[in-house]
Amino acid sequence: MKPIVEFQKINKFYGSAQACKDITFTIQDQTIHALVGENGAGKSTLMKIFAGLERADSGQIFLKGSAYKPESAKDAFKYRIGFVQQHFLLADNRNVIDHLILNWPYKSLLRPASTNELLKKVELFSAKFNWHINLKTKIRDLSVGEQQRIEIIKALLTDPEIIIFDEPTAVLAPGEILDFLKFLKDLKAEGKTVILISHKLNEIKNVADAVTVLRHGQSILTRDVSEMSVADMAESMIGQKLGSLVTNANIKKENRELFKIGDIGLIVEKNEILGVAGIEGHGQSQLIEKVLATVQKNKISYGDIAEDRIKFNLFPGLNLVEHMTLRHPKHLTKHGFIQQAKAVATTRDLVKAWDVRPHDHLIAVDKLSGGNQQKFVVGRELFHDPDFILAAHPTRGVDLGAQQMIHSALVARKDAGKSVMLVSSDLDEILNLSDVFIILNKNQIYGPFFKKQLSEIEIGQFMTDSHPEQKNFRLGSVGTGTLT
Amino acid sequence: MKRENLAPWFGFLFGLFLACSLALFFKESPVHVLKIVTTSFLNSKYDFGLTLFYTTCLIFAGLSFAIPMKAGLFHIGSEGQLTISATIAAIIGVSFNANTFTGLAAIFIITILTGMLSALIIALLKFYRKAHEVVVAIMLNFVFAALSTWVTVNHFQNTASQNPETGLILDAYQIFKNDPIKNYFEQSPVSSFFVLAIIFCILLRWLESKTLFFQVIKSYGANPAANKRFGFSELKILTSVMLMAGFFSAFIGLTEVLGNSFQYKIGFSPSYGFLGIAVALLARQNFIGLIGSSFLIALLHKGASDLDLETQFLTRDFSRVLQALIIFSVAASYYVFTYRKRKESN
Repeated sequence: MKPIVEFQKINKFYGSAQACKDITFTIQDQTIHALVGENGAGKSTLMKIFAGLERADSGQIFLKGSAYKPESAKDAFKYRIGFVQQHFLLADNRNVIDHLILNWPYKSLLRPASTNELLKKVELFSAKFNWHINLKTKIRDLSVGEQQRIEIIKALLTDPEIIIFDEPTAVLAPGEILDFLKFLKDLKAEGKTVILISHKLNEIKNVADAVTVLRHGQSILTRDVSEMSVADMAESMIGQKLGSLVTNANIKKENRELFKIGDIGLIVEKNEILGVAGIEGHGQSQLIEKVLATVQKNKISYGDIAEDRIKFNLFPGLNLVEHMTLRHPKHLTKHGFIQQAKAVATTRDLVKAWDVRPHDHLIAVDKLSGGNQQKFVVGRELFHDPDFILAAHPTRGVDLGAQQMIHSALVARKDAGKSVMLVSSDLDEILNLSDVFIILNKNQIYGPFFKKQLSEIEIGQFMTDSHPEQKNFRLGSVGTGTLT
Repeated sequence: MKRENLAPWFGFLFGLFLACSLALFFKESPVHVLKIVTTSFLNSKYDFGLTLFYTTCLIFAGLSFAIPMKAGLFHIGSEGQLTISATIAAIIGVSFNANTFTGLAAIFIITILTGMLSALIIALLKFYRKAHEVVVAIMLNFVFAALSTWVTVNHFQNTASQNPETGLILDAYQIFKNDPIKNYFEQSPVSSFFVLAIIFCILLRWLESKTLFFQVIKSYGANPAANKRFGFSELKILTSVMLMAGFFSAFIGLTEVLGNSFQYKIGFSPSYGFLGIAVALLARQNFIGLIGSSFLIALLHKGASDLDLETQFLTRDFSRVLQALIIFSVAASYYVFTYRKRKESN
């Protein structure tokens, strides 16, 4: 084996942030070389530099022993480097052949490429990898997997020696992933060198020959994959031993329990934001149902920011005052009669406090914009200072200002000794706000985990059944409702 | 006034126009027909009283439809409920021998309970079996009609008559014969039940604006899923609106048996249950508006019944055609008027 690419002390700054810090490693010819690291570790930046899309501030790259300093993507073409990016660069309303022609190398504008030759080549690829591609199909009518194939063919048309794949399997279904991994091996067998960026360590273990781990912009190590277990890779990625994870049994704290859902063993504590991570449709609704049932049974006052505000939180045609009386009859009615003046005053204050626009308490709720509806819902649900707050996707469809407002309101409740359960498909929201979190996957609950106990990659593994210690962290199940 | 609130009135006028135009086919002048239909209630005090009697029944029928409608239920079971209630009222009136107070109390209580329980079936089947209220109501209408007929003809048939009807209720229970309202309108069918109907409308309107209960019903009609999530009981809502619907259906039976014919006559109702739908839709389920729309439909009904005498070729059956066209147009108008809005929201 001989080295084909060498990175030497590559540095790259974006403003004051350093994306690449003295990255140094070597890639061998005709291998599949994996690059792993957390989000922001510098993988994509490094590859963009390599493909001529970004320029390094310092450091050198050697390609087959000679210095290589790409100025643009054109240089990368010239040096036969193909790049399949994470986000596809395809135009929805154009068909496949349009995209391929654009990538077909031409001598000059006056001597365009021969389409026949192009078609022959595409046919060749299709036959080799057993892909069926209709060249007349518009991009928008293709599945994500098919779109990726177009990107791959685009890259292969230039007959590259080195092909970079950035998170290729993130968009693929499980069956497609297997095909894709086989395809990578085929490429290697053809004599190509593959650079693979992926979060899925199992796939890397399966397909790659060598792996380089990046952390915080630095290259931590480069090794043969055969020498490393998946756990080793994960450890070096996040910089701490996986074994240091505290198991559920070891969690011991003073008793701050607000309530407990017996059959799943989930404890909701005071002074805490409990995050619920997971891909949508993996049991969130069932969990919410259970939680609400428990809360109602235990007569705990609660706020309910529902997962679907139109379906569960609002009554079209009814005005804001009516919504308030319906939600807070204890405060706003007496012996079944509505205390109109009080209801109006309360609603007016709430509309002002949460800046629900327009400032009109008699407006029908369906006349408000989505963001204002959500502000109203959050305000309404927090109005009675409940002991428990269910906040499911509380900031969905809300602008940044309102997002902050909602987030700080939730944190303020927590600081005031209340419990918040934050269900969200936005992992950043969960990681930023929650003190403890659980992960839902196929109606199974994993956790609870402390903040920063897991890296995003590991959370992703829990969501996709690929964490090596998955079984040990199973807390319970929320029933067997259908997955959507 | 909102555009949508005007919609049923356009439908009403359009239906009336259609019906009168139809008269052309029968070689009658549409203007003549229109004149009879709209003015015959003014012919005499008796005629006016008769119109108010229809109004009374239609108000009750309209309430019986409008209340469930607020909860999103399309209640067409009033016809069956009023039939069985009237039968029960007559049976007790004929067979339960007691003093006036006890007897009347028994008639009121048992008749109302009958109406409420017969409506409750719809709510329970809807809640527990997810049966659609319209289908159940249609079936029950047939069941109650058959039951009433069987009981009347086989067990309580008026031996002095060849018509299928019960005997007259005991004299002690016929107190509404000397009702001041009835006397004023020259012994026409109208009675104090008319005043009661109006009181009910006003009371309901007041309760609707003041109580949480009606707001809960309205919210259930607007979004049942959210209503449930708010912790309100679907069963309670369904049963209470249907019990109220049955309560008002029963009052139609009482109005007829205690206030008009003093017996149960098979087929006494000219489809009050269905006319009630038109009444409620015209008023857009507004309890006060119901009084006006009931009077309007009542005068048309009264007028159309007179077509027999006043025209050469039209019979009183034409009143059904008229009503059908009006109900159809009113129902359709709502969709026509909200078409653009619905299209936009889609």
